[in-house]
Order: sequence, then C-alpha cells, then structure tokens
Amino acid sequence: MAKKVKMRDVVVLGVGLHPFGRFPPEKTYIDLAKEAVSKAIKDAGIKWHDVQVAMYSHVREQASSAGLLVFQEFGSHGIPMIGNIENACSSSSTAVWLATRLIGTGLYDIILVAGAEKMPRGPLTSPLRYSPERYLGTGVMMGLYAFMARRYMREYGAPIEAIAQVSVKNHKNGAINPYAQYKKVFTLEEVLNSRMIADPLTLYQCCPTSDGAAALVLCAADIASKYTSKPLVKIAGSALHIQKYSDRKKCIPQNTVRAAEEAYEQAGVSPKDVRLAEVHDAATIGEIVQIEALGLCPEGEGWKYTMQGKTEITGTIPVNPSGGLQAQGHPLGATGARQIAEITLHLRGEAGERQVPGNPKVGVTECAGFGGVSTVHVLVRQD
Amino acid sequence: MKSFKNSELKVMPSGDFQLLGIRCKSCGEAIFGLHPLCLNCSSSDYEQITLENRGKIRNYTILHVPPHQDWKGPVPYVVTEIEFPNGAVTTTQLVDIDPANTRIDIGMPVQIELREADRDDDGESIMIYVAKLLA
Repeated sequence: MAKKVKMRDVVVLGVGLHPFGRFPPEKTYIDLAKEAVSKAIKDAGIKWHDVQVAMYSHVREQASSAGLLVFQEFGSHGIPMIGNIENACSSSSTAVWLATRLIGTGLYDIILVAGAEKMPRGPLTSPLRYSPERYLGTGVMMGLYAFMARRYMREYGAPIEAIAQVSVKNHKNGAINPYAQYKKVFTLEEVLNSRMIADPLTLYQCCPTSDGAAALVLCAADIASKYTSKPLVKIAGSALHIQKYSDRKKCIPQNTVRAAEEAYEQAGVSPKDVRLAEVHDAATIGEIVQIEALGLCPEGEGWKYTMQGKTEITGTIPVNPSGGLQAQGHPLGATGARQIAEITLHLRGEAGERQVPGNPKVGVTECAGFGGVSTVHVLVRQD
Repeated sequence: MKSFKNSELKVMPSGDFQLLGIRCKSCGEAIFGLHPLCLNCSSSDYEQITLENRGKIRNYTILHVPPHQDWKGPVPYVVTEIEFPNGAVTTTQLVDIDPANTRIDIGMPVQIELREADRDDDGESIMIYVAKLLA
C-alpha cells in the first residue's frame, strides 16, 4: 500500500484531441500525436518550454521510444521525456496516475501526458508470436468479454438486449461527437443482427480498432491561474489496481471496485456525487459491469439502468457521453487520456452538442486493460 | 514430443502427458500451472500436483472470426474455461465439435486431450492440450 503523504492539488490545465478514426498510412502516429499535443499546449495557455516532464503512451507501435520522436518535433529543452508508459488499454491513464503523483508530491509543476496509436485491423489478440494461445485462439479480447457477458447474464438474469442497448446509446452519443470514429446511429435490432463475433457479442457490441491521439497538460493547482482563466478541473482522486487471483470468484471487476474506493476517498466524494462517467466499453458488457464496480448503480442493476435510459446524456447518471470506445473508437494508448479530456470538457461546459446538462461538477473515468489493470480518476471542478 | 509451457503441460516421449498445478498448503487453493508462489495468498508453502485429465465447462464462447492471419483452425470455434475437480481453472479450445449443431452449456463434462500445434525446426512435435466434450 502507498504511504499516505500530503499531496498538492493537481488540475487538468489543458486538453487536446486528434479525432479518432482511420487515417491513411502516410499520416503517422507522430502526425496524430503532434496535433493533440499542440492543442493541449494551446488549451492550457502554456508554452512548450513550460513543460517539465513529457510522457507518452502507446501499445502497438512497432518502434522503441516512439514518444520521443513526437516530443522531439517540439524540441528538447533538457527535461525528462519518457518514450512509452505501457499498461495495455490503461496506458495513458497510468501515465496520468504517475504524473499526478509527480506533481502532487511537489517534484514538478507541469507535466504533459500524450497517447496515440495507429492500429492494424482485425481482432486484438494475445501479443505473443509463439504461444499455445496463438494455436488455440484463446487470447482474443472479445472472447474474454464474451465470457464476461455470459456470466453476467447468468448471474443477474440480464437479457442480451439490455447489454446491446449500451451500443445503441453510445453510438447515439458518438453521432454528435466531432472526435468520434463512428457517427452512425444504430437500432437495437441492427446491433443484435450484426455479424456474430464472440457469442453472445455481435460486431456492433465490439469497439473498433482505431487511429487517434489525446494529450493532457497537468499542473499544480496553486499556479494554474497564471496560465488559464478557464474553470479548473482537479484530479481529486487517482488510483490504479490490479486484479487479484481471488477476484475471479466475482462477476463484477474487483480491481475497479478497489480503485474506485481509493479514488473516491482521496477526492472526498461518494458515488452519488458523480454526475457523469467515461468507462471502458471495449465491449458493451464492459460498460455495465464497470458502472456497477464504480458504485454508480447497485450490483446487478447496470443492465436495468441501461434499459431505463438512466445512462443516456439526459439520464440520471450519463455514461460515455463521448460515445465511449464503442463509437468514439479505441486507439489503445490514447483512450485513457481521451476519457479524462472528455470529462474535463463537460465539467468546463465546453462539450458542445453532447454536453451533459445541469452544470456537472464531479465526473469519473475508468480504464481497464489486459493483464487485470484498472485505473480510476475522479475529476472535480474547482468553483 | 514437447510442449510450449513446461510449467503446465509435461509431455512424455510415449505421448502420455500430465497437466501440472500447485496446491497451497497455506490457503488450500488448487491452481493450474506451476508458479513461484501461491497466486491466491503468496505463500511459498505449496506442493506440486498433477491435475486430472477431466473437468467441466465453467464458461464458453463461440468465436466467429479467425484470431489472426495464420489461423489454421476451424471457424467458428469454441473457447472454454475448464474447471478441474479440485477447483483449478484453465482456458482452452473445445475441439471436434460443430458449434452450430451441438449443445454446449456450463457444467458439461469434458476430457483433456493432446493435439499437435506445430513442429520445431528439427521436426519434433510441439503439443498443446485441448478439451473435448465427454459423450
């Protein structure tokens, strides 16, 4: 367990996104990341030379120190730069977790976190070239989500229609998000009747593979007003937990349960204070189990909340107003930072057509990843 | 004849095989494969065990997409979580089955068999374990 030390407040000073989607090969990850970083720097009101540490995250790029090539485009001014912080889908959330602590403990004032990816098409599988998993076909991500869906349906009596409704809702949100990969609305029938991928999950219940980039400028709260007059969004809670062997006894992801408990305690808020969430819906079932793990609804009722429309933008607890991984897309290294950018925009009131109404003050992000990682961040607007 | 991961599958020259695991003397958990410590309680006080070559389906999915470009197996194919009688769990493919015309359900009994996955540069068979529904 981490020592309890007094930490300075850390805020999200700037956010920058490159739209997610599919871009031609000549548009490299460097082009994507450069745009996101430029926008984040501008949004933060800082200059590149104000950045004191730069961190980059990717999972699939076949290059070592990929991020250094991005940062060198802006020039090196003698600061520590990290070419890759990798933790599967949770990579850039892990970088934020680290950066929050580096600023919180007083070592640095301003840290840039960027994540980007250009992904090949096709199913995401075990990365090992020579392994039994490769010959057995067992390491397929959507296969693991299919296990989760089957188990959830069995334990809580949820119909597949309720799980598929996550896709309907998230595509509806993505359709009004200019940064989303898919801007197409689907009916429940279209989702259920799309091609079967991993029974019971159909194609439109599985997130796409994507290109895209996201960047954040994190800053010590006490100097933030020097740079910006925008509302300050504090990273009030930040926790990273790994699945334990005994967690397999539970259907609801206990790594998120523990991460959420820690992050809520740091933030001094409870789940009922949360007004919106961005969660890891690589498959539709992911959103349902994660909102339960975050305490945003009672255990076993995520599917009912979804059916009742409570997780819509206009609902009582909007989930994935961006469109989530389902519609926004999922460039692995960018997703964690993208989720935090999304919540920041909503808490500032800058989310445009998809803005969650009611001037929300508290939002939460959850980013899960292969290997049992779950990262939770609680964001609170400073008024 | 050899296997990919000697820490879970031991293949004899005769073609006989053993699935290996550990039983923790501290927490009692039976765990598939050999590990430096008990995965449940981190105790180093455990014994190596041989698992039975049978179990039951704990979870399953039918995959309708080849997992990668080099896939030589069937499509669709079935992946199952298998629970052994002592509670240890592993994941493998359910073979020799037409998923469109066969009932598959949680709790159904399976036996473990060997299959050749590949051959190394010297032509020696590299074996993997798979599950098959018990008739």
